[in-house]
Amino acid sequence: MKPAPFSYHRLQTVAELVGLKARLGDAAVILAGGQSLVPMLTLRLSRPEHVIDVNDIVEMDHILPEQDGLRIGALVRHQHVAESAVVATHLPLLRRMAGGIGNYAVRQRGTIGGSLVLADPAAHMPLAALLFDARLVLRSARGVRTAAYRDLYRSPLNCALDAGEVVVSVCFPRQPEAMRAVAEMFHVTAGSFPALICAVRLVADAQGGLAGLTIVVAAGAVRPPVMEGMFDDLRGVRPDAALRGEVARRVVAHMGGLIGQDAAGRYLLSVLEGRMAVCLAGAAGDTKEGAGA
Amino acid sequence: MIISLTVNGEVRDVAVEPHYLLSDVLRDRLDLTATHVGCEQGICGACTVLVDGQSARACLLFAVQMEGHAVTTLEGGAPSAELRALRAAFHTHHAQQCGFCTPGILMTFAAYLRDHPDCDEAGVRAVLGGNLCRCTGYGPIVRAIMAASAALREVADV
Ligand SMILES: Cc1cc2nc3c(=O)[nH]c(=O)nc-3n(C[C@H](O)[C@H](O)[C@H](O)COP(=O)(O)OP(=O)(O)OC[C@H]3O[C@@H](n4cnc5c(N)ncnc54)[C@H](O)[C@@H]3O)c2cc1C
Ligand code: FES
Ligand code: FES
Repeated sequence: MKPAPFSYHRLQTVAELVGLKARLGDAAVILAGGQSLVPMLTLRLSRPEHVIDVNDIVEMDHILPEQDGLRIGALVRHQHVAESAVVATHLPLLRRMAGGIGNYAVRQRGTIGGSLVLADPAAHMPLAALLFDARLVLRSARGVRTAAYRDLYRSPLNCALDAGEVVVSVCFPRQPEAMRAVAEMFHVTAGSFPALICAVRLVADAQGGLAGLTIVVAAGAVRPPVMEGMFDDLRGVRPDAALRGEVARRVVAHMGGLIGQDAAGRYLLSVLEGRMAVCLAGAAGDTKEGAGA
Repeated sequence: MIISLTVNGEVRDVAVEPHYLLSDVLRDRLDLTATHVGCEQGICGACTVLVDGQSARACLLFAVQMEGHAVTTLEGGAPSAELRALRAAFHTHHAQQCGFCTPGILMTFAAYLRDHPDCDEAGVRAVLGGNLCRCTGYGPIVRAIMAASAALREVADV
């Protein structure tokens, strides 16, 4: 199949973009890297009247360390994140995850903004944004607002932007010194989406006990859950092997309830169990792995 | 509409509709058939070309987007040192059978070897994961790319 005809608009500024979006409404879709949109148009899963190409909007293409965190423009390509020294300093895990996306050519064009708006349940950037509680800067003809990605990401393929809104940038909050984050990705085939990603963010207190623990898992076609409150009773406990075993058990049980226990589900859960052990050991600083995060 | 783009170093004016894919315009309008089309989903890598020097799937771009940009296909007027080294090594190492995947692999690695002159085999294998080959089993392709990379380093050292 081939894409259906549409009118093409190529814009230079965010002001023009929000103006045109306000005028055309739902008849227009934004074309960023096109690495997900173009296949959808080719398969005619989507037949918009208008396509707005944002690839020239340089004001959406920046990586800036700021007081309260790391700001990344919506148009920043995955490969840029994967090779950025600034990202490596501030959020090394984000850099590693960007480098794991799809394949080399896809990373050259795919953007963080497109990836977050698409909200594919198996995708890397949405998972990282959930893990670190990133906020999106959104603009429309009505003005600017920021919103937590955790609130916007309702269900698979559903990032709830308001009418006429576009993502301008995403801000990853500054992390405490004692934070370690580790992720594991499990692929069935090379060059495409992983079947499973699990990520751990661990903050230690001055005594080396747990001050904060966040775990996000992408598996099955569900919106990756952010697991946090379910570890509240473990605060202050040292993340030794026994505690890590307990955390992994809770995570596997929680995911089991979400993705089901058929043969495929059981297989993924067994992989998850093994990968959780690796992530948790890394985040607790028990292996060299943790240093890389 | 008529768009103006640079293909293989030459400025070309082509009549296209906005919904025409770059891969189709290269093959059907410009007769540049080295760019192969397999999946049209970004998965197989057969259609990989260079856009402003970086590898990109031609099936995931509209030709209109290329107005003002430079596209390089395997036919490319003056092949880069990387492409020449890769071609020679593909010969020596029998890295091609039916040849369907070959143009995409050559374009991918022409950019990759330029940007990663000190690449190792693990890195090459990871990138090759983005190109499907149904014939060779990949072994000869990996050997050819590693040989091309070594040959380029030798030239650079002289
Ligand atoms: C073969 C292949 C393998 C892949 N593997 C992976 C993988 O392993 N992991 C992974 O995470 N992803 C993977 N992807 C997806 C890839 O990361 C895409 O780049 C990404 O999902 C979408 O980004 P894009 O810039 O291409 O967006 P587009 O395809 O251009 O757009 C996607 C959606 O976002 C909207 N949009 C884009 N930008 C904005 C904006 N600024 N404001 C509002 N809406 C916007 C568009 O209208 C569209 O609805 C793969 C893709 C391919 C083709
Ligand atoms: S035809 Fe473009 S990636 Fe397969
Ligand atoms: S040589 Fe036939 S697909 Fe690679």
